[in-house]
Amino acid sequence: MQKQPKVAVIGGGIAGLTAALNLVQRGAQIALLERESILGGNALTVCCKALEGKCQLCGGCLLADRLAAIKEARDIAVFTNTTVTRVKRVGGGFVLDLAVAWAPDTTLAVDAVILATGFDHVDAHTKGPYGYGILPNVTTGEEVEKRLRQNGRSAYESLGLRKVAFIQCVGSRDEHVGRGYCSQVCCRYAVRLARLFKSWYPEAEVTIFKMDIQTSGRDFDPTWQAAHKEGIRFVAGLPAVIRRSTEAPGRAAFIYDDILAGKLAQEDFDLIILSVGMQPRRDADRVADLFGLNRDPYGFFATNDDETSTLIPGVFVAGSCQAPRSIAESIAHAQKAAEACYVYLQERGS
Amino acid sequence: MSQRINVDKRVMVLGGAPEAGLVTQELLKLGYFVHWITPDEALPNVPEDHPRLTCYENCALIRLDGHVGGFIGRFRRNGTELSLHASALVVATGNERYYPIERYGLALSSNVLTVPQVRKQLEAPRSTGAALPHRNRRALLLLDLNGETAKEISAEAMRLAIDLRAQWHCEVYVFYQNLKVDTYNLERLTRTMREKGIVFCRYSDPQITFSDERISVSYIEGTVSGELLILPEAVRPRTDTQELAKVLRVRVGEDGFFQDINIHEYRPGLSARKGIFFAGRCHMDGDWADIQTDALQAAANVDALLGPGFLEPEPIIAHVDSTKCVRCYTCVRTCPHAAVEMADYDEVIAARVVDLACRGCGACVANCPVRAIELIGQAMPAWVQSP
Repeated sequence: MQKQPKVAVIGGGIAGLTAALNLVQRGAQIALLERESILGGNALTVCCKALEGKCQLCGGCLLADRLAAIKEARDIAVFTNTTVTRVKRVGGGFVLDLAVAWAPDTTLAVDAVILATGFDHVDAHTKGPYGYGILPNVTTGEEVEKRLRQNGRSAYESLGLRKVAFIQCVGSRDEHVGRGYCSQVCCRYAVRLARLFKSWYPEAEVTIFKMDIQTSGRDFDPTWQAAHKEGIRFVAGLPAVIRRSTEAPGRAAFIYDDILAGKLAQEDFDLIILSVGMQPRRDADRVADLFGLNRDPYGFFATNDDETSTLIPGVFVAGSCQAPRSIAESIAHAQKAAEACYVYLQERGS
Repeated sequence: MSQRINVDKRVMVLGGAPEAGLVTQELLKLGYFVHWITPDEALPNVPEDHPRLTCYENCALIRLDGHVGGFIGRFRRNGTELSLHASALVVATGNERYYPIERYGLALSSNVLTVPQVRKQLEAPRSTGAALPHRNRRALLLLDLNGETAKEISAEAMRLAIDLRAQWHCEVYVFYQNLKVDTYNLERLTRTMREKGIVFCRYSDPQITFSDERISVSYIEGTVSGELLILPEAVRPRTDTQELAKVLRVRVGEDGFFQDINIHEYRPGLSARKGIFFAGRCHMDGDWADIQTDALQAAANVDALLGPGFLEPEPIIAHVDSTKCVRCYTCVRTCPHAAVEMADYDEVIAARVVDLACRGCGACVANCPVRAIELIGQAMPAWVQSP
């Protein structure tokens, strides 16, 4: 390449950071655009789930060194509090109009764009019968992670938990809420959190209500096996409705169909954690319109068969704005997107 | 302390797995010279007559010298030895599939078949008649028997179920414990299967009985009997993994695949040794899309390392004082990155840290019994240096 190519990376989460770092190492100049006031995205809410110092491989800590590396990298310009308002195709590249709080009327001319806008957690309110927001005992995996990240072990200590339930597939694999896909991360975080709860509060009984535990991945299968050994109960069957318990005041209760035992059962719980999945960002349609991208039936950005390039030459997609991904998978996918982008730039430049 | 070393764009790709082909093609696109080497008979999908590609079949790595930027691999090929140079190395040897007879406890027969066996019959030309007995019959596909079925294999089995239904008009029952749907399109695939009339049955402890030509599977909701029982294969590390790991001086995880599972230390895509990368099934479990992603990210990582054309040591690295070294080899054994070796310092032989390979972790410093090693390179701020 004769001159340094310029790439706009939209989204400063784990995927955006990874793609930016990979491209800058290979000689590109990067403008990293982030809507929020800080970099990090959804990975910032992930807590460390180490069990007595032993890593559970959730990947939450992989963010830190990338943030540090971004600071040191010379050719990355970071724009926080920034959104793209207009996109024009000029020559082979793009001109982006930016809404930057501290610099009005900024425009940016780039050769290629990597979209890494990430995901939103599914809003647990959409599963109305689960009583999220109404029953104090019903919370979400996202909230638990945030609380543990802030307060660590003490977060749930005072509650004197005796029975904890995780409910899987909240807003995943559920066409009723328009999410007919597996979010991939919720089994993993639920099993890891369940083991963490079990090790911190050994007297508590921890149950995971599931459809199918997604045991794939070399790092996850051993974790799941260990969870069985540690006495975490897995029940195949999801509740239809969660309500206040009539027998035990202050608890929440639900009836579920234990498929493998072939019977209905009712139980009370102190804490019910809804394992919420991933959905496309609520403003993903706006971003798609800006760049002229298609979206798939569930609203994620549609790509070509390689899962990173799009119908618009020069626009690439990285991380969980294309499909649900864990942190480690987002990193891999972002590197793949950076690779596709780099090859594109090289073929165009020569 | 900034000594740059120029490197050439020459990479060795080890292994004959399909993902090795992807890495090779991507590296060729990026302008690299690639030696593609496999211990197996043949390589898959070799790009034709590429000027920057050389292929070596039946070629086993017996020794690896040097470090990032200058690896020298010695290979044995048909009784002769050859040596090849490269700046980096990508390992993509893949995994091995087998029929886990001890786990399943079921012997294969004419009506107990594995997924690939049925696939082969399905794809055989009609004239051979190999598969005629199974047409229009009832097939029982038994996943997750006495353990979990890997994602890729489970997805293949589900695709087979659809084809059995469409081409042989079989009634297909899928028995499972945890249906793997954690790839974006698999949920849709299972829905398509249901629409096509494939029946899903969840079991926890099935009873399998054989009588005459029929096979029955009993589970909580009842018994289903059919004429054909299909079982998925399982995966395991290739048998040469341990040996290769020893030569490459990298570790093997508890499950026998390359590298301990340590995402923090090795990051996705990197290995413990600088300049060595792993791609695909030799170090991961996933479906084909995951494996493709992994292969391309390996290429991206290689290019991020070698693309600039030079290598520099990290800001903080270890350094051995050769006059203090007692040649106990503790550091050589301890170094997780295989960056310490014995070297000839003109007058003495002592340990030496290879600057480019060192990650500055300090493991050798902590373990050296005579304190001959220290971490150097920390720049002292001006205000610390008293006049």
